[in-house]
Amino acid sequence: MGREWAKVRPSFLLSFLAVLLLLPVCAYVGYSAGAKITYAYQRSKSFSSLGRQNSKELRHLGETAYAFELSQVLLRSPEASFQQNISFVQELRPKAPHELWPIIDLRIAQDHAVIARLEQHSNNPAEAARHRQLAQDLLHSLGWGDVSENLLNEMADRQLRARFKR
Amino acid sequence: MTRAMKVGIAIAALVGLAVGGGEGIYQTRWLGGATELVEVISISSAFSDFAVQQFKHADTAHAREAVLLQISVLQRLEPIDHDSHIGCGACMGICAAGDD
Repeated sequence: MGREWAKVRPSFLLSFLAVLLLLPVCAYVGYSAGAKITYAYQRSKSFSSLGRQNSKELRHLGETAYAFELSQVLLRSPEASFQQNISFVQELRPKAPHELWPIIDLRIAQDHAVIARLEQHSNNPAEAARHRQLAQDLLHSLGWGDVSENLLNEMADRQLRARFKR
Repeated sequence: MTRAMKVGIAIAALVGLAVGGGEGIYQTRWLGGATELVEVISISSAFSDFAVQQFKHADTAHAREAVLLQISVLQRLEPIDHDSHIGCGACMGICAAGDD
């Protein structure tokens, strides 16, 4: 019996180690697969009470609106982030549903106004004027009557206070 | 490696997959409802903010268009089945309370 056990012991230990290693690895694989499949299934059921076509459109609208709103929350440092945010939102625009286009344009205009304000503070009048012009063009297209420098500065200060609690 | 050991390893793999899969499903089952809720909030917030801004600054035609857009989007959201959020945990019962 002792001899038999001595013969089997190394392979028993090896198997025991394999089980110890395999259990968490398989649990992780199972967890990821289970979570992904469940999430995909739940997402496919989102807005399902509105009918197939409507739910598809609203899912798209919701995903884009969420990405768009989130991009504002995730801003951390002023100037570079605003520029990055404009690029991100500009990329988002063609893929977004048409209803969101004016909202995206307004946000881009607001971000240009903020950059113009920041450039103005860092004594860079040429860049400030360029961004101000871009903001004014977008606001004009949205039907804004007053797009004066004062209004843009006020808007930019409000944005900066709200986002960075200055 | 004996046959018993092979079977032991196979059982360990199956148990790992089953336990992990079950936990993944259990922890994610409310996430779809929560995502839907966050999207509804994002949609209504984006359109309301826009309508307010347009109402303050734009000409009448553009302001009217923005408010009508907001109304049409909110009307599309109105028939959402609030019951789908009950028990999802994400809305903390707000959806159900809203029906009272």
